[in-house]
Amino acid sequence: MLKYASKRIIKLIPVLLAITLLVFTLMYLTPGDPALKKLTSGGGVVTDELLALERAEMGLDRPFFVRYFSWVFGIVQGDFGNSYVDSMPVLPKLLKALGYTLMLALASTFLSVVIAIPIGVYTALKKDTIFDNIVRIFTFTGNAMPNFLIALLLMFLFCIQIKAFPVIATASLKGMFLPTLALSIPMISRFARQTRADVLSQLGEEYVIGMHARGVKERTILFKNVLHNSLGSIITIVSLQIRILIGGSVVTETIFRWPGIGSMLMSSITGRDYPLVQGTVLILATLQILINLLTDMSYFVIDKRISLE
Amino acid sequence: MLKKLIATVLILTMALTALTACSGTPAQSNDPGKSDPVVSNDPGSSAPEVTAGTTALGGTLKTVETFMYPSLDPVKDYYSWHSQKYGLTESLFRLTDDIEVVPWLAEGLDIADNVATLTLKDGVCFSNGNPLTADMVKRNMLRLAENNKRFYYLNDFQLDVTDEKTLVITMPTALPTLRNELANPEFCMIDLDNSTDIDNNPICTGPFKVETFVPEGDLTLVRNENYWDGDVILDSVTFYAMSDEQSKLMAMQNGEIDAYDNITATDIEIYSTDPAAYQLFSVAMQARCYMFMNPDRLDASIREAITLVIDRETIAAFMGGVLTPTYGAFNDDTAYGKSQQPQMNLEAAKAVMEAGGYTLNASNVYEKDGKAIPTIGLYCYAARNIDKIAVLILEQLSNFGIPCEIKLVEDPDGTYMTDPSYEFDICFYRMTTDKTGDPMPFIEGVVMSGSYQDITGYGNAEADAKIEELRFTVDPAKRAEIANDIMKDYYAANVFVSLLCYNRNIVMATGVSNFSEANPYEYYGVTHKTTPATK
Repeated sequence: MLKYASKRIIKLIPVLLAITLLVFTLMYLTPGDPALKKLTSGGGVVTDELLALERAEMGLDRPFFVRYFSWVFGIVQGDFGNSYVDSMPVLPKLLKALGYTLMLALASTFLSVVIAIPIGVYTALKKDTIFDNIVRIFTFTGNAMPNFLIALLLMFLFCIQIKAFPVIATASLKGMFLPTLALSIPMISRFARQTRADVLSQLGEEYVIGMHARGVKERTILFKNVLHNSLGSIITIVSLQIRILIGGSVVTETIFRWPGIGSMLMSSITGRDYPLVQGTVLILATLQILINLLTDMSYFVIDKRISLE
Repeated sequence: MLKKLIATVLILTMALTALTACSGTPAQSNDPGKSDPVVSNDPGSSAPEVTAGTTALGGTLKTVETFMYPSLDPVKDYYSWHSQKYGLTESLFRLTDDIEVVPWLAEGLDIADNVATLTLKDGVCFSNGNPLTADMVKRNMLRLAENNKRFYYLNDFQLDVTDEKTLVITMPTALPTLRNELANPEFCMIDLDNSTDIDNNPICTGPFKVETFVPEGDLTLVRNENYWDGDVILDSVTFYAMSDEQSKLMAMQNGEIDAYDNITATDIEIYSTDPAAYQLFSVAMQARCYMFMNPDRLDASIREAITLVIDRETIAAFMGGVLTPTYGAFNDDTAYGKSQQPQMNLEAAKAVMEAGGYTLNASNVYEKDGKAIPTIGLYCYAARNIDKIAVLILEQLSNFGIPCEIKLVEDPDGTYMTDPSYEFDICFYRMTTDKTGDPMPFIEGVVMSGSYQDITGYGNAEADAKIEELRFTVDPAKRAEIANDIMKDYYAANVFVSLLCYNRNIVMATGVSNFSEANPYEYYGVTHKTTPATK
């Protein structure tokens, strides 16, 4: 497995290089002048001389490939450049925001898995009962509601009505609760539906009927076989959700003042902060690929019949 | 087994919930005691003057900022706009609510030709008690010149300290607007000898000093006990970083914050339903939305008619209190803002079109020589309500008989504002037109030939000559006269239409006052007279 992982990581290099070129080109082609944006952020008038000076300082007057290779060589040495907006190094900002995002993504995934899988299994076993129907209503609703609405409803309920949490949360464990819940609700719905469908499908398989006929205990069938065989698709959907969460929880982060990478990416795009956008996209792309790799490897762990090759 | 599993999962979930609910959070501050009396729900009115002599000292003020910056160093970029709003820094001069330049840290500035003598007020000191000296002013100005490109011109100045409180500034050429320049928030003072960490804790002259600062996060300031201009009422002020408008609304309703500015039209409506708890203030800022008309693509009659068709009042009413109609680049109550553009007059617009040989056809579109006016492109971008303003103007022009369509661009500075080959009919832009109480920066940057915003090609020798005259004229009355003359000609060319000012809308809990709620400049905020919310 180590050999497989090493091979995949080596294959990552050209992919990442292609991503750097793509991101850099897209940023290069995007209309707008970061130097002008920086100088006019207070709304004043800019002279051509001032603009030329700022562009030279930001390195924007250099040819495309000079700028690109300088950026790539910098990354290789661990230097992602400095932010155009505040001139601070990009990497520490990125890592700090990424830490917060990962914390939120992992917490919400954990919470979702812990709640959704038992519910999914139970609803499969109690198919078409009142409990199943109630869960169905909740999961459909949870799936259909946009994240920002869930976030605002939670804030209204917990902060304004119950007053259990402050609206102005900090990046602490308590401050993490509501954003985690906001991200978890749709995930719980998806995971529960997926688990239910998989378990139901497995329960209809011939091997389950055979095991029943041989008098194997229900819980043994359920946990050692049915659930185990359903794990593949559950892992797929969980990894997919983590990937979405890492880059896509912008709204939730903004509403709850969570200093994650999503809100940082959005503000850097609107501020034409190219080094920060490029660095963020590169880091996110790398993470996506690594999660893919881990997902593939986990398939092998749960089912040895799957060949890593 | 299944029951055990479910029980275990439930216990785990409950434990997690309990754990998160028990952890502390320093930002929590539900203050249900806040509420009550006196309502001043009167947009446009100024708060009552509160002096330390009549008001008990103490209390805290909590507010939010959409953007918090990684540093408090006022020489960087536009950070001084924020440090001044926080009550941390103060400039040498300041702009009053009526856009007049008055001394702040400075006592006065005498300008004689290219030499200016700056005198400092007695008793001004930093939060550590050290007095502000002319030498420290000089060093701060040199530091600004070194670190902020917008102030590189200071490198050409000769600064001579003649005594503790006097600085003589010799300029390469006369600069009649030096007093206005010194009202820029960047001309604030830091104790450079004792500030060991300017990014996070600069020692300044303002009524508050830094207690805690999280870069790009929250900022808490406490009273400057050595404040030079009297007692500071508040014990502390906290600025929370928060960009989501809904969250700000809920934090305000929950009593977690006491005041904030730039509230949305929807929120104005919500707050106005509870005048017992909230005071609303609205003041038109100097940031304006305006449009340029391309004389190469629109003939004079159409351009003139357009200026007469646009109904700014209706647009402002539709936008729900976030915009104020404006008919010039400068406020009409300033001496240099007396030249204004005409108000909506559909009859006059029709007459202009008819005089230009246009007639209205059966499709309600003006035509000339049997040819209908081609659809005019309104080039705009989706920021600061500019796209919405463009849509409303499209509606008004189309109803009049001038067909239009919206042409949305992502960034005006990458397209029509900078690319000479970019063909536009009408384009929109937004800028602070009067940044320091003087018309020169706008005229120099928009009207002068070859300037950044002379995108209509209006610039001409006659206007440039007047601009040169303005540049060296010291007498304010004469300056105003020249500026009005320049602007009159500019408006008459019908290439520029001033549309709407952005409002600085502020909501404050009952009891809060002196939050610079009547000042049109967004870089003023907390002062030593700011009072806390009523408990």
